[in-house]
Amino acid sequence: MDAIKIDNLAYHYEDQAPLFKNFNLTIQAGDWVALVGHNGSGKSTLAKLILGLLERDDGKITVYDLPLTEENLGKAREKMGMVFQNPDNQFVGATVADDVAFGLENQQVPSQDMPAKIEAALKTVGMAAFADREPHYLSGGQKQRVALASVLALQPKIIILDEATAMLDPQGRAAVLQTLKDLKKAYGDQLTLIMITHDMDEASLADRVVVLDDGKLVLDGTPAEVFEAGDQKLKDLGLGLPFSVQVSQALKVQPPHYLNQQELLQWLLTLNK
Amino acid sequence: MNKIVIGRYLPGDGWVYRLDPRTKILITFIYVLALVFTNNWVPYVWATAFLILVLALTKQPLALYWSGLKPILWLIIFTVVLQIFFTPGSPVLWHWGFLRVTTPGVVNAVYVVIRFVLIILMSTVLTLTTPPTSIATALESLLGPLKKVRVPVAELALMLSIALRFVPLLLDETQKIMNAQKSRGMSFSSGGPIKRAKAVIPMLVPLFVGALQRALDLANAMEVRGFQDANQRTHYRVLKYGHEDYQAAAVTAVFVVVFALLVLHFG
Amino acid sequence: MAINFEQVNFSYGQGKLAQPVLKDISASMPSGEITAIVGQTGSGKSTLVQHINGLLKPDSGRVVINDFVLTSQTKEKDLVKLRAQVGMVFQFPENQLFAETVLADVAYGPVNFGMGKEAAQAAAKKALQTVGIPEDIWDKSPFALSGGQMRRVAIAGVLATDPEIVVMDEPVAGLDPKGQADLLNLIENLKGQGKTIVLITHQMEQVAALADWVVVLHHGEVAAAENPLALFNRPLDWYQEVGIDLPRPAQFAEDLHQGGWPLGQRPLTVKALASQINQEVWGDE
Repeated sequence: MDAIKIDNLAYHYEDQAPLFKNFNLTIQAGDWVALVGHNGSGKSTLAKLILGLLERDDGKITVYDLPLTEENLGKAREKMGMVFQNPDNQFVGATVADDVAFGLENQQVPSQDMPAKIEAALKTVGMAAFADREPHYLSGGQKQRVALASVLALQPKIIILDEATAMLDPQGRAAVLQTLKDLKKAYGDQLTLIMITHDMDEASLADRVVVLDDGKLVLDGTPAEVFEAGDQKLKDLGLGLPFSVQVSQALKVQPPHYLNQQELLQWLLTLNK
Repeated sequence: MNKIVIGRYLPGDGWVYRLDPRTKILITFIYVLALVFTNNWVPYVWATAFLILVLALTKQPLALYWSGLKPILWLIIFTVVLQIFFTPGSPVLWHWGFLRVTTPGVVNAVYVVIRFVLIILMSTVLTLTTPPTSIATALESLLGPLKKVRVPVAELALMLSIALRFVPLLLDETQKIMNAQKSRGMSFSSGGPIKRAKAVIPMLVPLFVGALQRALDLANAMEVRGFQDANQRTHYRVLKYGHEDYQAAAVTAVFVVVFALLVLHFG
Repeated sequence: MAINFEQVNFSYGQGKLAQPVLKDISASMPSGEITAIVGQTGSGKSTLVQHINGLLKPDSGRVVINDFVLTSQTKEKDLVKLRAQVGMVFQFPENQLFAETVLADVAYGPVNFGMGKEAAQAAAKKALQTVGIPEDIWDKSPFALSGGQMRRVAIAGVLATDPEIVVMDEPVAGLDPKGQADLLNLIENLKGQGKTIVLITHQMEQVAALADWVVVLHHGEVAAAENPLALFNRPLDWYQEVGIDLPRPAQFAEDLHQGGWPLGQRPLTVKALASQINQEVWGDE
């Protein structure tokens, strides 16, 4: 099953050269995809096109077999949720619970059903104890987890995270990434994650890494494929490499294939027995 | 930016917190209205007593209210000066040119200050104990009848709650931009009026650009979470009058009746 | 010593509601070097650095910045002298851009500090060159630039007054890897020009790579003030306590140690880590 199918997408910003031209991308349901590229490569624009926040010039976008058209927009959006970069600019409610409620209110969920749904969503991201807090008493990482809960409460099939960790401190970032891992474990194939990032270590958490440059798809594959075969390309694009690859490349004898950090650790430990 | 108390919500568990926001809005409204009808110290003592009761029922430290009054001290002083120097009447206690201090002026000034402080404190209780969204929801409910004459009450209420939500953020941002431009040598205190007005531009432009960016981001976030029509939404915070509200209504009724009697008797 | 904090106390608010943020801070930031200020969010880092150019004044104690002495009594009009020597790059400095052109924005500081129009323009041009903003966009609106460019223009606006001391609060936050690398390079170049740099950061890899000296804050107190090598070779539970991480290479070496490897000095860079591993596995010197 395809979660998202993009065919021949074309888009340009006003007074600028086309960003996307004949762009194609298919994302399988249940995948965890990292969409990477430098600033201005088009990755955030792509997310906004998928959500219909920007109007494409041409091409077709299908979300779970539902073509994204003006009539279908509301229905298609019900299948998707998005967490944005700036934790402050997406906090609609006056308190954590109110913020989670906002989407439910829009979907006209009956008032008496809301508390249970809100609590369940907040529990999933580990923020249930903060239900009555106001946003400015929360850290950036906590706000992003609330944003994630607000999305989860609507039970989407696809969650897009647009550089959701870029403005966070290391603790906040780690907590958000851990929450994503937990989510993926809990929901499995029922949840498609699309994570927009320029952090290669974050990207290495995904099942599939898609690299964009100026609206073009330049690399696409598993982390192993992208980081192994594409290492020079990534360096040329100024994107850098995950920590484990940096270390591997500096070793006297390199591991036989791509290893993530945990695997590299294990490999070295068995090597030295 | 922790100094600002007026307009800020502070979580707590006092009795006032348990009241329906509509009750609080109505009581505040009645209280403010009542104060307009008197210029005698006896009703003011009664009104002050009522306020002290309300403050006590919020279970917040009195120091908090005091620090809330401090930023508007200059406004109070300004009002006092106006009242003292520009109220005509006799006897004249002191005069110099067109300035004169009269007994009615001094008396007026005292009442204005008391009235001002009472109103500010009562409104502070409302905002301090009621989350902004609840105020918005309550206004939507209280103003509900206006929907019939095509006033977009739901939209206005939502706009109000979002505006209130962004106030602390924008205050914070103002401080940040001010610090940044001060570090680049900005100064408000030198030059003529035109130069001073110009000095505000480096503050206003970034603030405006930032607010616009926030607005665009927020619009996207709301749209993605399915916002379409303010009228076709359910509400998480359902307003229901409880027994505290009946108690509050009774206490307020006693206050109003006694206040009215005092006003009738003392003027 | 370029900057000296001497028993500095500072609280937000007054009386009963006062929240102490800095408690008896004594610390130095050496001249001509890069000092990193680290600590958890809310540990007082931003409050601390705002004392370096007098945006905040200590409640008690004093801060000596070169030959300027800042105390609670320092007058607002004297601070201009201080601010001309101290450049301050705030978090997300692109949010302070306002002028119609890049050049005018960058020239704002020099004009404020009393340079003539031409001198200010020349200073602005030099600063734009330093941060690598190409000449063909000097006359463009700063709001038409990319995020990374806006960041560099904002930094140029601070550097244009040629301050002796440059304070930066999380300068690379939110930039892509290339933008981050460029900016870190710029910081090293500034040090090369003899400037004193104070850098707030959450990235311990940056501390390891750049800093000559580190001040660690914890709940508004100085938890450590030492060089990175000493800082990152403390007992493990100390990091937990003050809420900072080890740089990744050091943490990886620690993970290997947990798996039974011997542990020497913790490596601070990928290169140092790799050479430790090479030696351990292949006996390579």
